[in-house]
Amino acid sequence: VTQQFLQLLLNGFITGTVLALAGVGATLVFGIQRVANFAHGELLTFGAYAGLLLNVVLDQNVVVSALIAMLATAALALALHLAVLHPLRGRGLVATSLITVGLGLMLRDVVFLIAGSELHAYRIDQSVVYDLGVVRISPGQAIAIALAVVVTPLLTLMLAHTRLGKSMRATADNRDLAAVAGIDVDRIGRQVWLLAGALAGLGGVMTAVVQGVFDPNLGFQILFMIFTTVVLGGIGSAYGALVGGIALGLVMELSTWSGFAGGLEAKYKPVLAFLALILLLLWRPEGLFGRARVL
Amino acid sequence: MASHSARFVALLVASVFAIATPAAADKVSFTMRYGVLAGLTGDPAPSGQGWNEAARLGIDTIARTLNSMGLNSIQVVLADSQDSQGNPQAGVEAAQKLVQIDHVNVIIGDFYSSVTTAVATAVTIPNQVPMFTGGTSPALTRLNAGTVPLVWQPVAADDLQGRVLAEVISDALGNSAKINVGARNDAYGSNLSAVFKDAWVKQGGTIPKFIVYNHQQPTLDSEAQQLVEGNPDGWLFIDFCNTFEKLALPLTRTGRWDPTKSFGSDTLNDCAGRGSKNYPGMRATQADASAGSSFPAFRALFQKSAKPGVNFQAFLAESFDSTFVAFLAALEAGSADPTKLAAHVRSVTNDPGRNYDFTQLDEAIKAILAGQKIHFNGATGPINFGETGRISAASYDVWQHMPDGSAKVVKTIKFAP
Repeated sequence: VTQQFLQLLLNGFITGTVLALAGVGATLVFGIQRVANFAHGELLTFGAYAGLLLNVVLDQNVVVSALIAMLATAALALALHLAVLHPLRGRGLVATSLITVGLGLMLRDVVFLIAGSELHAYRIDQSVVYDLGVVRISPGQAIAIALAVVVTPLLTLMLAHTRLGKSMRATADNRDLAAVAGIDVDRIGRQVWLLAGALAGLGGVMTAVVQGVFDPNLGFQILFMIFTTVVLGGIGSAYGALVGGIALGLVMELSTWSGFAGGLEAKYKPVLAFLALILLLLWRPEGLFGRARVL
Repeated sequence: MASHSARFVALLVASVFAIATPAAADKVSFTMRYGVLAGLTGDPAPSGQGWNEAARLGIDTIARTLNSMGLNSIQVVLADSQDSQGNPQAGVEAAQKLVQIDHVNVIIGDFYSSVTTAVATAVTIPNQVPMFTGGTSPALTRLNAGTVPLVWQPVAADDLQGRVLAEVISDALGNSAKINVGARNDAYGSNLSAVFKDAWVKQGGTIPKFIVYNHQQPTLDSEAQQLVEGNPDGWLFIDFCNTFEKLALPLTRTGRWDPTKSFGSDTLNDCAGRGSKNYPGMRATQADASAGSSFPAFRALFQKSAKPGVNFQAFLAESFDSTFVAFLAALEAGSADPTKLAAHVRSVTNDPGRNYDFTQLDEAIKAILAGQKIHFNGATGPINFGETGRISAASYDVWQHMPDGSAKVVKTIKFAP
């Protein structure tokens, strides 16, 4: 039972980290740009396929592939912002968010057209399992943990201590006040798309290596979990998304632990996630780290 | 009123006469318009593209035969192939296009029960258009409420498969074995797993863990953890290949899963052939779609003439056979009118009558035009459509995944519905 608990803890941490990293980008985009980006899942998909191209076709190792996939996804996110969403600003939250739904569908179909619907996998031996005594871990999971352990603290430090991080958080908190304080909110807007894209690209690669095999539905399948993370952490709060994502991953996985009244049936994991969200919002409508705001 | 009654009686007599009287070659003239409905993109694409190709090859074969016989008054055409995406809503829209715009006389597809149910309810039954489905849900039979079935199932339904799985696992691991069950959370997974559970418990077996999982979740590690608990003697999985692979990797990670003690439903019989991966030792049952003597000829035709990149799979014989059954039924009816051809489907797929398969299509056509009764034997087997629209003879293949990554039939069992 203890071993099962530790294994679930590890699995929950990995799932949670993907949600947290993707959630930070999505929440900052919402906070700064006032766009609920429903194409965020497809940014993860794009990142996963960009990494695949580098890893399988161009024979790069997974870490290099992940880094270049982050850059490529960041560039795509910025391009979407500049070509579509920026010219449409001022059309209101609903209109721009609906446009992102269309963008998401389009991106997914493009990936389907180019990469096909068949399953793909990174060049990692999925049959290998490292037995660490109390937990067993696959090479894909090990890579995901390594990436998370490096990137998550760096992201936290960047948000807490750099001028860019502080400006992003300030703009997400109150765009008008940030502008009055001298922050170039348009520049911050572009930079937040770059950050969101890079983190989504990393999330896509991490999801792909953990899943082992994936298809163009990869990002769409976790889109609503990412939004749950954003709302749970407090809309616009980067720290909230970090904590919310990891908490969500842990709660979902540990709910199936047999030491917990026999364990919840696995099919109810997503239900539990949304139930946790509803209960939290009843108690604290602004989320874990959010502030009350008028949208 | 009297004239109305007389007209009705005359029409009735004419209809009965039309059904009973052989259609002479010089009198028969119709154009048969086929529509294909299958998931051509997304998850179902590897099978859907094959389904479409098999139907196209069947229609091409019929057209070529008619042409070589000089029967120019009878035409068969593939009006359109529509993409259901394996999704009921998209399937309904696609079927509406086939029926309302393309005016098809018959639809070959879909092979998803969920899509077939939606399409039959919303489109084909209201418009009285027959469809030949690859769907295996027992509930499809209940859609045939009229006197003549419109939903034809050329493959044995899941209520039978659940019992077959229980028999196969019992043979391998014993009647009282502990079997953990993992099934995808949709109509296919939950229905088939429930049928298996009933059959397995009834014969004295136990199921320590019965896990119905959401296959669209990003990871399935906790599901895998639960599935290896309870010291099972074996496992049964009900899923499709691409989503099963998402579960198989975490199962491998547990270090407590043994594919050689694992069994799968029909969709897991040969995952390598569906663009995924096989697990050496794992077994799966599938309604025997290769029992017909003409199956090797069909496979050879497919491998020679199908679009490059589309993999051959045994179940594609269902699509191929259906095109011939629909055509021969129309020929016997002397009309491509959907309700008339539907009324003749059982006649051309059952005894009495001389047996023909697709390699003898010209002879079958001549026999029908000469007023003789025929029994068309498909690449899948004798077909024998019953009055509910289901085939009434079934044999099942037991497949096994091989060490070299391929899969093959290791046993065939007969099972009475």
